[in-house]
Parts: sequence; structure tokens; C-alpha cells
Amino acid sequence: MAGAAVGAQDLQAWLATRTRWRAVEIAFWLACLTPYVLAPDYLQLASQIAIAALFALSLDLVLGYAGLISLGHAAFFGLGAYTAGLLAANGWGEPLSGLAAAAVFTGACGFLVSFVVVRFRGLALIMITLGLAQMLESAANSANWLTGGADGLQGVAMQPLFGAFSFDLWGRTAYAYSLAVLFLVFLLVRRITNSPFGLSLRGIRENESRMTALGASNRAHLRKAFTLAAAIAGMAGALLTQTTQTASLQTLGFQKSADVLVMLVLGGAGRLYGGLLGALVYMIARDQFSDVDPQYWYFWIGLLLIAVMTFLPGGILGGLSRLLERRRSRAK
Amino acid sequence: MTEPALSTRNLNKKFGSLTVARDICLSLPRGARHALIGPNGAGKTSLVNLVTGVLTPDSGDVLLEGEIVTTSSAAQRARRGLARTFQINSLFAKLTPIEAVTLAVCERRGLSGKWWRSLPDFGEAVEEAGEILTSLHLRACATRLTCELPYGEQRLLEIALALATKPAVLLLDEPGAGVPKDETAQVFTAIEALSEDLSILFIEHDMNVVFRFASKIVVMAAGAIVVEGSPPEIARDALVREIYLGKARHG
Repeated sequence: MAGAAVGAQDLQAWLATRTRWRAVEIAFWLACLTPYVLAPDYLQLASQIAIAALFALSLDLVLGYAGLISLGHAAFFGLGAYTAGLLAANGWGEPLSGLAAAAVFTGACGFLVSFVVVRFRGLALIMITLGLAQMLESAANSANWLTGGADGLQGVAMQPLFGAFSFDLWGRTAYAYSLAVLFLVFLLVRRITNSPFGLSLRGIRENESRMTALGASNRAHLRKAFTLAAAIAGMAGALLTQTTQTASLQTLGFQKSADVLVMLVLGGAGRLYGGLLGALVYMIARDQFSDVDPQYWYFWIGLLLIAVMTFLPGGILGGLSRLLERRRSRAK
Repeated sequence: MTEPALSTRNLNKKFGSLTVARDICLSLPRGARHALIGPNGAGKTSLVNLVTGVLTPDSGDVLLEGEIVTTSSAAQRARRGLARTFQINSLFAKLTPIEAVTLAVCERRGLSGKWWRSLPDFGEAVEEAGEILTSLHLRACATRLTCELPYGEQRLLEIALALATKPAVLLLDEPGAGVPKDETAQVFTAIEALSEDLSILFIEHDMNVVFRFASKIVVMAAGAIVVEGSPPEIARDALVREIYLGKARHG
């Protein structure tokens, strides 16, 4: 009996090592601060990368962890963007409360939608999420009086952050704000993925019928994850509006949904950092490719995606971890 | 008289013209070890699926501890103490055994909704999972990925997952299927060592195993129960010899 107890402690310790912060993670977050010194002219881009990373993190929760594929995730990004934008255009320009309002509103919309979404899997789910996003985009386009239609939302006026830091042209405030929100949400999502709830999500992704046989309420778990992911996507959208002081229909568009999926798959789904890394690579590639080839830059993104999928099926992080494992087993 | 742990009343199920269950009346007393045998296609796995709620019967009832659960979902029946293993491994490939069994324990204990504390903080759940793994000799491989385990250990993990739900009734669907000969004994020794309160119904093709472990044998053919009785009775039964044992001996 004593042996079994010691064994259990070992197991607990082993589980704890998996949730502990690693040096490379700390290095990653410290490196996120370097643009202030190394690339002060690119802080606007850095801010957009942080926002894209937050959006990809949100998709990772539903796709990478819970296994629900969505081709309409931009619906929540756009909803958040317009929520924050409409508030600011109507006199509520305080960024933090605007961000919170966007998160609550998109989370509530996500909760309602989740009752439909969790009933479907695979191709049907792709079509349903796509359909929902298309409906929303068309609705936003036709509601010209509210959204500004194809011209985008005008008159978004943001107040300074904490009443002190204005959103400047160089993106100094924007990047600090976006990065801080990304980091805090990341802490939350990291905690969730390491919790019993996160484990249940992975269980559903791996084998849903076995979860049922264990007595799990899969749909309740999935509804919770979807709601949370919607709220996070809404925050990403709100950040974009607040830092660029405009909201456009593109935030709701199919391209946006496809882009975030590409980022996540490129970086590696189900690994938390995959979406972050994917957003970084994708946004920098887009920036560089569109400089070189302004008209056909998406060709190069396509090529990059095919190359990564061919040689690194688990995305960049999946490939890296396989490489590390191989080296470790060789060392043994 | 106490109610049987599991029973069925006139279960019927058809897929088109194919009858997979015909008037099945089954009774599994508390603590019993019953075997369900029959040739391929006799409807054994379909019966397990009807009992666990994966399939809905056309008519008839399933009862747990005397209470009708026919309209309950598979998850609800699992929460009421009905656990099963699968004929073909149905595991969490990318989880380690300790994660998978802790997951099952957390689901049972109602901890699976907790998201603000890390898994290692749930010491009791992890400890319980560790004990289950130890009891099935899986402790040594508890931290390896499930998909990398030998087949025999994966079969044991099937049982470990079912046990983590603390079932009153355990349905084992060919627990020894596909296990290399030298590992079969390990699987059945583990099953033999399970708590005596646990009622077990197991499907098995290996007659040595069936006659060694079962107190009662239920023989199915073409979706119906043909005969049931103690191992000696079944061994003597001419009909059983004809439809099953005869075939097995010659095949």
C-alpha cells in the first residue's frame, strides 16, 4: 500500500512537471518585448501580430484542444470589433471597459451559437460555422446605418489607456496594450488546458464515444469551450478596432476565418504556442511577401503552407518537438 | 429478494430485416461472473450496445438495480454505474494512461468542470488513478503515450478506464481479443482479481477462459438467447455443441 502511495506521488510530480513554466517559454515572452528596442518602426505590425496571435489562441482552444473545426471563427472576431467600435463611436471610448464589453457580448453570442455547433462534427460543422459567419457578414453589410457597410465604421474615437497613454501613430501604446491582453488571456488559457476541464476537452478530441462511456457530458464541456473561445476571439477583434480606430467588414469575412486557421495549422494546433508562432510567421511572411509582390503575395503564403504541411505535418511546433524527441532518444 | 444488478426485459432490435436482438431476457445478479458466448454475428456486441444505450431497442427494457433506464442516455447509464470495455480498443491515443484514468476519475467525481486549478492539484484523483493503474500492473507505463503501449497493456487500460468510473456492472467485450497468447493470462488474472461486489458480464471466444471464469454461461445465436446454464450444463448441451462448441473444435 505504501508503495502505491509513493507511486501516486511520483505520478503527481510527473504531471506537475508538465504544467511547470519552462525556460524557453519565459524566453519567448521576454523576446516579445524586444520590438521596442530592435524594431521600433514596426510596433504597429507587432501589435497586429499580437492580435492575430490572440485570435489564433482562441481557435486553438476549440480546434486544437476540443477538436471542433470552424471555418467561421471570424464571426466572433468581427462581432468584437464592431462592439468595441460602436461603443467608441457613440462616446464610450474607454478601452478597457470597451474590451470587456466586447468579450461579454461575443461570449454571450458564442454561448447561444454553441447549442447548434456542438451537435455537429466534421464537414457539417465546417459548413454550419461557415454559414453562420456568412450570414453575419451579409447582415453587417446591409445594416449600413449601424456598421457603415462596405465603407467601414467611421468615427471610432478612443480615449487614452488608463487615461494616460494615447494610441499613437507608431503603435507604442497599441503594442503594449495588445501584448498585455494577449499575455493575460494566454495565462488563463494555459491554466484551463492544464486543468481537469482541459483534460476532458482533450479526451473529447481524442475519443468522444469513450468519453460518453465514462459518463462525461461532452456537449456541456464543448459549449463551455466554445463560449470561452468566442469571448477571446471577440477580445481580439475589439483590440484591432481600438488600436486602429476603425472596424471593417473584413473582420467578419471568410478570409479572416481562413487566415486564422492557416496560422494555427502552420504553427501547430493543440499546443498553445502553435497559434502564437503561426501568427508571427504568417504576419511577417505576409508583410514581406506583399512588399515584394503586392498583387500575388497569397501565392507565396500558399506555397509556405504546402511546404510546412508536407515536411512538418504537425505544424512548425509539431516538427520541432519531433526533432527534439528524436535527438533525445538518440542521446539515450 | 434483491434486484439483479443488471437485467433486460424482452429486448428487441432489428436493422432492416436483420434481427440483432430477439426477446432478450437477461439477469445478472450482484457480484456474478457471467459469460456471453455465441458464434460471430450472434448479436453479443449489439446486446452490449443496447444495454449501454449506444443503441435504442425497438421494444423492451433495460434495468439497473431494478430501475428502468431504457430512455437514459449512454452517459447517464455510465454515471449510474454501468461500465464497459470495447472489443476494439477505444482509448485516448494521445493521452498517457495516468492522464486518461485521472480524466475518468475526475468525470466520476464531478471535477471535470474545474478549470482554475491544474491537474496535479487534484491529488486524491491522481492518487486513485495511480492505484487503479497499479492494480492492473500498468504503473510502469503510466507516463507513456497510450498509442505507444503494447497491445496487451492497451487492453488492460480499457479495463482501467472502466474501473475508474467505479461501476456496479462491468461489461467486458472480448477483453482478450487480439492479445498475444503470453499476455492473455495477464489480462484474465487482472479480471479475476477485481472486487467481488462487481457484477461482470463478459463476451469471450476462448472457451478455456469462459469455463474457468464464468459461474454461468449465456449462449446466443441469431440475436436470441439459445440456452443458459452453469459451465457443466453448457458443456453437456447438445444444441450448444452443434451451434458453437462443435464449430470451435473443428475450426
